[in-house]
Amino acid sequence: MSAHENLGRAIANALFPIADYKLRRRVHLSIEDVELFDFVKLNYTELAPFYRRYEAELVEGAEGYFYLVSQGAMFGQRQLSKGEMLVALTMAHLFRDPEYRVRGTGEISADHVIARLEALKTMEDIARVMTETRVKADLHPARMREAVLDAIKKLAALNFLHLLDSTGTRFRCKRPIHRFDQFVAQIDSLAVPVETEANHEKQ
Amino acid sequence: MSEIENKSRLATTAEDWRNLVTVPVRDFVEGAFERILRYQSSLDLRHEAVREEIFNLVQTKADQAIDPCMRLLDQSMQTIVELRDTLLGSLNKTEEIALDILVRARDAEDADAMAAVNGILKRTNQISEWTHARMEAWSLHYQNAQSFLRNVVRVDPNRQGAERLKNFIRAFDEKTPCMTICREPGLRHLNASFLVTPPERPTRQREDFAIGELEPEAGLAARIASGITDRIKADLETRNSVRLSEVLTTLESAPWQELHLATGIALQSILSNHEIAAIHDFVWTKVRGTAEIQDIEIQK
Repeated sequence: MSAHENLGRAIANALFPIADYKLRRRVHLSIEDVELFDFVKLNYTELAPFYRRYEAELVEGAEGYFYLVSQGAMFGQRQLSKGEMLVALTMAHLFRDPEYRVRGTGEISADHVIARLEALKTMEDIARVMTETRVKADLHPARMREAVLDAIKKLAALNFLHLLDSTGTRFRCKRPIHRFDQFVAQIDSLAVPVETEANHEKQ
Repeated sequence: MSEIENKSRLATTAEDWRNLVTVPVRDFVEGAFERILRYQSSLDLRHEAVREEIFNLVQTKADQAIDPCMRLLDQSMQTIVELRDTLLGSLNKTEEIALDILVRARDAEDADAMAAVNGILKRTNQISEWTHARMEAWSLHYQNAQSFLRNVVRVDPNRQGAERLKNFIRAFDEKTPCMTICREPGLRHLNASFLVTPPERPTRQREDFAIGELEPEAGLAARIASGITDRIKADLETRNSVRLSEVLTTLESAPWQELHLATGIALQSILSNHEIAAIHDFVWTKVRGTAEIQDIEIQK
């Protein structure tokens, strides 16, 4: 069968519209979503060049998930908000903690996220990033909690986690949350040579 | 339970039902089920202990803990799978026997025996729910712990990843770059120059059917429903109670769909005007052909 026939067969599959719709809308397809993940995995050879024609890369995370990275204007790009990013990084940190993954049941709550954030940053810093403002009234804990819950719901829509209640207070992280580990590792690897270079210059 | 079922076949008097069925069934509920509940609690504690043991292994031995943890997880999972298979198998058998006894108790009109057997059915439901919930909890923990061992402990035994994340969060501020994702598709604004008017399609009045009455009050179903309520009223003038199935079996000539709808309409007025003496949840009574209803007993 030719490459075109294989692509035609993949597109004719009933799962293609769902997988395509989700990928274009920034949703990560996790190994936990068995059917869609298997569909993309089995048809990766056809789908990767297909999305390249839209200037987008279909990426497979080592821990078992797929996502689309737009490299041009056809799908476009946007960045996560500071609040979403900070909450997601904290979840990724909790997801690497045996206290929650092994001793606990894997369930994480918004309070766990806030407590971990408070252990790592000052209240004022958290509130400033979460609410993206320096207005004093917006630094109130209740508003911060609201912003955390809002970020949790947005991250759930991208399939980084599975909500256990609609308010976003309880959830389980999914494999794509490991993408934040990769992101931090990449930034670190970019930062190290720059620092080293600077040190050499000083020396 | 099999023994009780056999004895229930011999019961003829109320005294027989009490000695051969009601009392032994109550003993069964208090004995066997209490033991199962105690066993359930001990399993919950064991699951907690397993979680704690794996946690300690991971904390002290890092990647050396993977193999013993996997063995521990596999053993725990095997135990819960075996428990589920045994317990659900036994529960199904118990329910089957209990339903047989319930039908016999109903025929003998022995309310105490029926209540005792219903007690068993409630307990079997509770245990079945517990088993499913625990199975789900253990499976989730199994998947979670396995993925943690494989994707975190094996790949990063010295926890450099966690340390890197921690430092990144500490340093995170308004200038820190954020992860890029595909842009949300914007709303497409349609205007007159974009829209193409669809071609005008010729229409005509359909002639292939007549428009029927929409209000059920004017239809056949409403007439059957009022027949059902009238019949119940008439029966209750001569008797203390009447079963819904008795009334429905007399309506042989009513078309099936209309009878179904009429029963629903009639029940609305029956439930607001009469007392329901007993709802036999587990007893299905034939009303026509293979059609059955969950029967109710209507009182004056």
